[in-house]
Amino acid sequence: MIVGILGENKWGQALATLVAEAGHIPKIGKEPDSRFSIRGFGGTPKWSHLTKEADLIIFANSNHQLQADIKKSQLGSRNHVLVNAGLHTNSMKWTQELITHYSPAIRVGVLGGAQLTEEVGNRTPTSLVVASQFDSVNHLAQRSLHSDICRIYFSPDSTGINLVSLFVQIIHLSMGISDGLQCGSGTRGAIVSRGLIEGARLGKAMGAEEHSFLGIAGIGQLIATLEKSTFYQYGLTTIRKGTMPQPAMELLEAVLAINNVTSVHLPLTKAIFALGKQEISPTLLIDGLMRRKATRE
Amino acid sequence: MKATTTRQMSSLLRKRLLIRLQSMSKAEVIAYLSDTVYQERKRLEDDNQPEYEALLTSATKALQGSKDTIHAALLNLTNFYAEEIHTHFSNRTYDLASKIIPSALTRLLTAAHPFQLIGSDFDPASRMTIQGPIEQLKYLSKHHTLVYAPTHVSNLDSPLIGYALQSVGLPPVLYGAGLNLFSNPLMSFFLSRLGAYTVDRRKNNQLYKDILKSYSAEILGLGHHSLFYPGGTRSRDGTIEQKVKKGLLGTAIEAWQNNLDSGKTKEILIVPCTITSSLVLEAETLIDDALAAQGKARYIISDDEFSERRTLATFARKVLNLDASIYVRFSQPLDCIGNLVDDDGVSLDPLGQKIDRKAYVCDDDGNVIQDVQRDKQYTHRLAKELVNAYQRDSIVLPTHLVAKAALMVLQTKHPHLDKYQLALLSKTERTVTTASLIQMVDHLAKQVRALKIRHALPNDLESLIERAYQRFALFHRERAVTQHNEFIVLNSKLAQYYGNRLAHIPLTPLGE
Repeated sequence: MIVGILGENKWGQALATLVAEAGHIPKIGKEPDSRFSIRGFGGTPKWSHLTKEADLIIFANSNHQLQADIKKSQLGSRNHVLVNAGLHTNSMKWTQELITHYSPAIRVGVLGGAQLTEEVGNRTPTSLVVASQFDSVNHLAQRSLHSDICRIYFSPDSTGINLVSLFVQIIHLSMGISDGLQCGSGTRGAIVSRGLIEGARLGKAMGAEEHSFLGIAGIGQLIATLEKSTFYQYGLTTIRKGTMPQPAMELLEAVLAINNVTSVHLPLTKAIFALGKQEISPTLLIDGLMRRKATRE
Repeated sequence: MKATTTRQMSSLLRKRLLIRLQSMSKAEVIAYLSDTVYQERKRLEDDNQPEYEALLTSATKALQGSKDTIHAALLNLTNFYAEEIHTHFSNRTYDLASKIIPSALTRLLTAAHPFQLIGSDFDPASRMTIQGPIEQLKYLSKHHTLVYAPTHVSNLDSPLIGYALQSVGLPPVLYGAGLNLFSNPLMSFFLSRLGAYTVDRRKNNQLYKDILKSYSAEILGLGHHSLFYPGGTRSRDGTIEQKVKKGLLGTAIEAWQNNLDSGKTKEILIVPCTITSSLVLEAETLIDDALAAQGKARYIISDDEFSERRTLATFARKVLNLDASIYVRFSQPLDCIGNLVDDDGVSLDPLGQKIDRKAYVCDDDGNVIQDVQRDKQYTHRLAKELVNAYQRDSIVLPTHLVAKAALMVLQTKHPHLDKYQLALLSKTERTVTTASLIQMVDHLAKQVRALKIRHALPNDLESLIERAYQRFALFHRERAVTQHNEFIVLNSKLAQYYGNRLAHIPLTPLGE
């Protein structure tokens, strides 16, 4: 089986390693003028050739450049496609929706879980989850990536996997803020549990499975990537500099916009957003969250 | 087009059943048959059908036998159902259909007594506004098989669409008509001759449902243009379908793949269609049913206004014979996956580029890959596109807008009441000022225009309200809105029914 990996970054190369480890042929879609070393994997600058040839296409670049990558790839109706879970905040579309919106490809799934490129390179055991409403995408992705060094789980719940990827970032951001304020381990524990419950509550209202929040892309990713999380750093920066970085604000705004339709209770997200907008001080943030009426868990 | 006899159809359906049975274990086959026998016995407790009961008795005995005996019993039931469902279809009838529909419908709608015409000037075709890509559909209907998928509010929808198709020069269609429709003797006379096959919605067993689906796939495969209502049944509360049933819809993709497999060049294309009318014949019964206590709502209603010949005739004379009263809008056709198609029937991606749609279901060598789960997802996508088309292409009429405004005024007056409680208000509690209604209508009309939603609203507010009042005064026992100088008495049930037609539009009441 040929797997086309569009993007020659470190994650693209890690995916190529996983494909090779699973006994299949990875082919990396390179940039035309690239001098990037791809460690012996086959590569081509002609992405459209890959989409005609490959059994599965995986978008490996950051979601920010997904729209441009889709255009470049010239996906067709024959393609099975995998893309990183998440939300394209400019268009407010889930990443797989962006693919179906800008190409004829329909059989699309998302890849969730921690993208630990170095650990994959070192053959350290890890796991990922693929989620598609199409069984054929789930099975192809599992066959392409599952090996002794990486367990691939699959799920039909692409909404849940997408949503939990946002909440992992919100929780990381909140933990950065909490650590910046020098709160203790108890606060961290509360943020993790209440943040996941908050996400699961929104997910349930959107038809997602609560289970997805407890899986590889939820708790798994939350724990695996905390130290390296950009959003954790954003949280620390927010306290240190007194302003929240723009990507964090965009994330919070996007989640609250998603919730406009469902209107579920999101106290943590709202409070962090209010802090970002400088409507409340960090002290009031903690105070406001702690003074809420006592409820059952 | 070659006619199919009942025997041939039965044989095709049995072949399909045998394929299905091959993949089932003996335990599954027993469950399949015993479910049929149980469901039907339960249903027949108050019914007397000796021939059918004998068949069920023999099926019960077969449950004790070998797998082959059970198969034989299922095949016998298939024969029985095939005979019941299949129209006595012939080319002659099919050709004749296009010629007799207009006069048939005129008679149907005007006859207080059979064949008594009330006026020679009755001509709904000239009153009906038919919109959409008619030339494209005419071309496509010659080369492909079309499945019309309309919204559904009234039992009059099928004859009206038949009428609309005929009047713009599109070929007639086959469609499934519920047994209850045959309760009107004239309707029964014409339906059975106009391509209607029989659907008994009381039969709830899986075998019957599977046979109906197979039947639909077969007639599509044979190239007959068809019509079915994806909503399944008439909208009870007046809303446009937000969700559609995927059972029959899924037969389109099945038939398309069968065509590809057998090398047929005819494609199967879906035509969403919205029927919008100022008033709905059965509105009072339907909204009563929608507001009935949970568990008392009926899936099949056989004693509504449609079954009363005089009421039907009055409706036809007063409502269908008005200008700007009925709109039939055909939307741009879709392929079985939900992609739009161009004038030649080629699928287009969301950016308008041509797509090879076969690649969705075939391997690189062009062989169809069977994948039931994939097809369900494709049908799900098609269903979503149908709902989008319904919402995009339905037309706001004065009665809908004034009813919606009336409902909002009432909700403002009683902010804590739900729809059930609103329906129980006394006349005094349902009375509002004329000024408040006019203000709300003005506010909503501005929103409809700003949102660029399809509408047929007169430009000036006075004419808009006047037209709605006139229409409401024409037919129902109690008007949705009745003006008494400075006050308006609202019929909260009918205001809900007609106002709900705009439920999918994000309209906000005055003051928000």
